[in-house]
Amino acid sequence: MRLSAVGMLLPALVVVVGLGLYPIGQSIYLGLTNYRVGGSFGLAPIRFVGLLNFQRLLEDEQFRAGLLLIVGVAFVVVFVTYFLAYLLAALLNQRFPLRRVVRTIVLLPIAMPPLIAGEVWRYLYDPNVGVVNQLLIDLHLETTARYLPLDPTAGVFWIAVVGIWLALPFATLLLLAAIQGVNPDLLEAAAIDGAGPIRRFIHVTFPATRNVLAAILPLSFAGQILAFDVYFALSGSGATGRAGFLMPTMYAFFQLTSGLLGRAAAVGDVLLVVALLAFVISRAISTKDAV
Amino acid sequence: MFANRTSGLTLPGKLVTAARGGIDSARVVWQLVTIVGIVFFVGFALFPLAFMVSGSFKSLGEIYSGAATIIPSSATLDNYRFVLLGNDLVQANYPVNVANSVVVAAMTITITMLVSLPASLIVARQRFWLTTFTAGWSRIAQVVGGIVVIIPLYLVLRQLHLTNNLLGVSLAQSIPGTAFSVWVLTSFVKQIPHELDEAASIDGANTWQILWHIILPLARTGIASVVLIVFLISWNDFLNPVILVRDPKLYTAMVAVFSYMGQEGQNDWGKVLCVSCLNSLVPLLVIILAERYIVRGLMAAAFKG
Repeated sequence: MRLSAVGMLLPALVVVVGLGLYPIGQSIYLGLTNYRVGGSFGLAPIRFVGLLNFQRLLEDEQFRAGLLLIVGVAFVVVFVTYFLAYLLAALLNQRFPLRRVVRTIVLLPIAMPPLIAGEVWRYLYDPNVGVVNQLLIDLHLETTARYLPLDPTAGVFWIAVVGIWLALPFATLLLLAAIQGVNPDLLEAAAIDGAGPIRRFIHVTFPATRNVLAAILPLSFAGQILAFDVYFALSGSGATGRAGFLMPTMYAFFQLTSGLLGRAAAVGDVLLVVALLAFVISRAISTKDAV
Repeated sequence: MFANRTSGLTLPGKLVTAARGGIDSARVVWQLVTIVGIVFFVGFALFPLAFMVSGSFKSLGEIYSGAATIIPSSATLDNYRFVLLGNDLVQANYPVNVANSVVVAAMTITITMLVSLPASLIVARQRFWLTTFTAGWSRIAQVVGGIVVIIPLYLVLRQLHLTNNLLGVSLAQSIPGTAFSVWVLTSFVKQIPHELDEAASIDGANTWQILWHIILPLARTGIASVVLIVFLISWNDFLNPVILVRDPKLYTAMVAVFSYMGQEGQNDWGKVLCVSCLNSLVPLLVIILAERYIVRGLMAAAFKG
């Protein structure tokens, strides 16, 4: 029995070790080397350089700016998404006409390719042809059209809108499931005691769903830090080959495509640490049933 | 009609009479809030999609005329004709790109299911260090992925001569695919009473026969959820193919988006949005037609079964 069990696990273990753990182990090592391939570098011999890559990253203003930007975007996306998700889940938890149709419509972005979402929002934000600038100017909120995600202060929020658009459906489904798991007797008791919908939410629903929320927030945050497609498209990197803004994932991408594998791996290592930290925090918070 | 789920309670008669006036006006306010909320969220979800579809039917002239309207003033099929059929000078590559995406998705789904179905049976039914290891990895790999994995994986696939190769792309996608599938299928298998496999085992069935004759038929809807979600992971993937594939003949539909950008400075938005529509068509149909399966799969992953 044990032997056949190992046999059935074997294909999965090949994927886990061969395509998962071995490459990640190699990445940790490569981050400490000057490994380069192709282009003007030729095939340079691998040389161990210690923490030089990480030092260079910290010295690089572009990298620091990108890291700061994605951390800001991730915070805004995660908190606004889960705030809106509570509202939307509460709405969908009621009976109203066309409820199923509304539910399907608000879930649509969950299936959208993130790259396409980034492209379409880049079109909406475009200074020449986009509807967002046009609306803001018509409403006299802006005087000149510009690419809003590049705004030095408000850019974070305009970028976050796109992340929120993509993340909201999953967050809503999660909280809807959590809300439906709340003991109806508690809500009933609160209603009899005269608590309105808002107080029922604050004193019953929110405390009962807090564990689910606490466990998903770090994972959602890590998801934003590791997101590539949507912000790559939104930055216009695909169109012009130059980025309007440069998140660490995109920084790693450009290092990789220009053959600087050691430097790219170092960025990967930084992101790996962030993601693993988020995972550990989420595990520590989560109770048995949640996430 | 817009009654809150919890307000359809049977309250003691005295309380209801005492509070009736207050409850009624509160209910009207609550209904208004509900309507405003629904309009806001539906609008937010549909607004980019509406402009994506309308833009794909606009000529470049109309897009650059300055007025971004939802209804095109003169709708044209030129973008679709160019993308799908090409013109006298340019051959249409998009159908080839879609075929590549379909091949990649089929291979990814096949690899993922062959790997995760047997593994999930063992992880669900037995407990020793390898099952703990597999389950733990399948959880972590759902969080740690993307660029963190593709940089080193690129080197592994290069050693195997699988870069610039659709199978290499599928192998890369099989990592998140397998992580997700093992995790979710395990929770679906756990819902099947283990007495069934024990009975079959007493009758002389081996583990593979149990998988084939008992687990597969009973986990059918769960498997359908996983296959659909792995399809979405594969079809929507941009990072792996853009890094692993150099030859434009092997581009997937998602990578092909950037072939329609036009000259630097002036984006050919009509064609970009047309390809965007075509690339989103299948995923949107999947969520519209198979919403229950997708939701069930995602929630099984989020809440331990």
